[in-house]
Amino acid sequence: MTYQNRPPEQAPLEFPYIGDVSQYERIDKIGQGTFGEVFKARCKKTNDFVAMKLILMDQEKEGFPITALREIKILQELRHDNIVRLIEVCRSAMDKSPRSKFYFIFEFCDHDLAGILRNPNVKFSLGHIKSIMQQLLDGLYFIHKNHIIHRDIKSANILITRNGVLKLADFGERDYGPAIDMWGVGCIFAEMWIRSPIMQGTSEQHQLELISHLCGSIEPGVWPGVNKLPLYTKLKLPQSERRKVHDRMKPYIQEPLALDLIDKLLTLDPKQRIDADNAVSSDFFYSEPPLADLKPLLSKYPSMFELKEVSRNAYNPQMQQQQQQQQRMKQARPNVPNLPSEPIY
Amino acid sequence: MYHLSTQYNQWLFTVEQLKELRTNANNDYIRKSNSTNCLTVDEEAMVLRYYELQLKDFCEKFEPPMTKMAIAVCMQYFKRFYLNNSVMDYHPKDIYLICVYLTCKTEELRISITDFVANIKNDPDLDIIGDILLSYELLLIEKLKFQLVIHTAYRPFEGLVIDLKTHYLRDNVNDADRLRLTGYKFLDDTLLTDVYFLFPPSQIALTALLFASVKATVQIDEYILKHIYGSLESVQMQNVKETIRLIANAVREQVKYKKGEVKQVVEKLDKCYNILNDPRSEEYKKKRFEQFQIITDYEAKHLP
Repeated sequence: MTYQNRPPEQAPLEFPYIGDVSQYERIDKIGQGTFGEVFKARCKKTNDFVAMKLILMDQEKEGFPITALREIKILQELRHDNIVRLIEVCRSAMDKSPRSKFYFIFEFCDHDLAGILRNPNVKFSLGHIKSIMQQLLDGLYFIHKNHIIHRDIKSANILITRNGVLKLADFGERDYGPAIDMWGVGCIFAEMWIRSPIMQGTSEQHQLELISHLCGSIEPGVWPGVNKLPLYTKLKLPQSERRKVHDRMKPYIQEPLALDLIDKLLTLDPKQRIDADNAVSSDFFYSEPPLADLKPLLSKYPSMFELKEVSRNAYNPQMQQQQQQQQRMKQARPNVPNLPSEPIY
Repeated sequence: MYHLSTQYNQWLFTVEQLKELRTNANNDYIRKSNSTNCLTVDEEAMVLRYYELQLKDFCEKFEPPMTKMAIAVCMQYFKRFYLNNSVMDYHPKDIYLICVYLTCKTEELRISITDFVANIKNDPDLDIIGDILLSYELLLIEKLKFQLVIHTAYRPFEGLVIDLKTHYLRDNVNDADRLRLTGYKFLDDTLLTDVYFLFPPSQIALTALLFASVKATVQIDEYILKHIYGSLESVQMQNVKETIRLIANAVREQVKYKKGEVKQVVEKLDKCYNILNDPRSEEYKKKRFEQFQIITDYEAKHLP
């Protein structure tokens, strides 16, 4: 090959087994995380929108990131309506270089759940919440059945198209129990009403305190064998805390069947925690009102992403006013959450 | 699943095609090389066998232990790499190791590059071998055409044994275990051959089962006739039987090389391999530097 000697203008943009990222045109940054950046982009050929996720390679001491390899493998194996579809993996034109950049090209989804929840104009009915939760559980049931664990269930990783179809994104872990995802579902479920993430710990110690305050003390009585976990004696766990899931959630969630399901999802012992199969068959989904289509609600709005909503709210005087008002309300009633992202517990 | 795989669509060949690919790789290198003493196609095969055995040995002693399936994946990465590349272009002493490292990632053996390197004994560049290997990783992935999923015969073989156990050997679990052990031995022996380039894993597994039944003298004729051949038409059955014969032959009739000869050829390789592709050489570093220069210029011109 003589490519290295050619003037760079003529560098061949052919990758026989991998797409060239220049066939997509970047439009807007829609996400930022430890993994790298996500862009909204357009395919020049088809004009379709896609989401383009950069795989960060620079700080990799271990070569090509194993999380990226896993994510590719998982997404190739799993095809489901509620799992984000990987269209292809692309490469930047800097061929034969250790600085070559790789990109995941995903189907584009207009919103992420975190972005939607941070937008106070979007009002969910009980039917909407049922639809979101059912799709989330359908997706999880499917991946768990295939022995894949998501392990990072949070509202920013839950995408929703303008047609109201939910898609799980950001895979990359194995070797945990599926119950860990169900805990995440419990947190999301509560977030649907409270509109901000619950139990946002700042450290592992703090996280355990928040969990104990809401779900009761972590002890062998409710979680047989927890005392055998390696760090059990090393961490300071709040003692004699009463379980207050029902009491603390009741002000936000009037629907008793929803409360029951949250209670089962936020069960401390992973062995007793409800699994995706049982959760999706729970009475909550089969009671009145029925599931409601999300499309009429979501198609009215331009894209809502956590990244955007947070920065938008920061510059939005109306929002700031709202926040200040909430701050005052919170002082009066300590259980009212602060929007957009203040922890309430 | 196999029929939708890249293994079926892109990595399945005839014996003649395999020979042609390897000859092309050899010729391509000779054409661009300055060396007057290049290896022949046959000599390349000897070098490859030598390093395949090294690879196998390395994998079998690897900590944490590798599964048989992972070892098979790794061996196939190595073989695929050298289907389109000459050993003279990329020296196998590094390539076999980066194949193992990549396998650790794709087969979920969680290991850091430091722990990986701890498995390497007697390397003159032990302090920099980690960096050397990583510099090959992307090249390897690229030469594998980004196709990293390998279907081995271990899983279908396990399926056959379980099936057999439920239907015929329910009261004789020992026989099934003996079959399994002997069959594994056969599957291990296939790894040095080209059978994965020629046949589907399910038929390699079936051959292993039949081989094991003869070796371990476990009577499974009824099972084979009823459950395997039973649903086939006679033409298909003849094809399957022929495939089994070919696979068994490939394993039985492996070329044996003389140690002394192999040693000579490996030494010959050290004099004619492409120093430009060896990260230890000054030439490589110079080439790399120039590449960076080109890329930096390119980025300066083309990136916003």
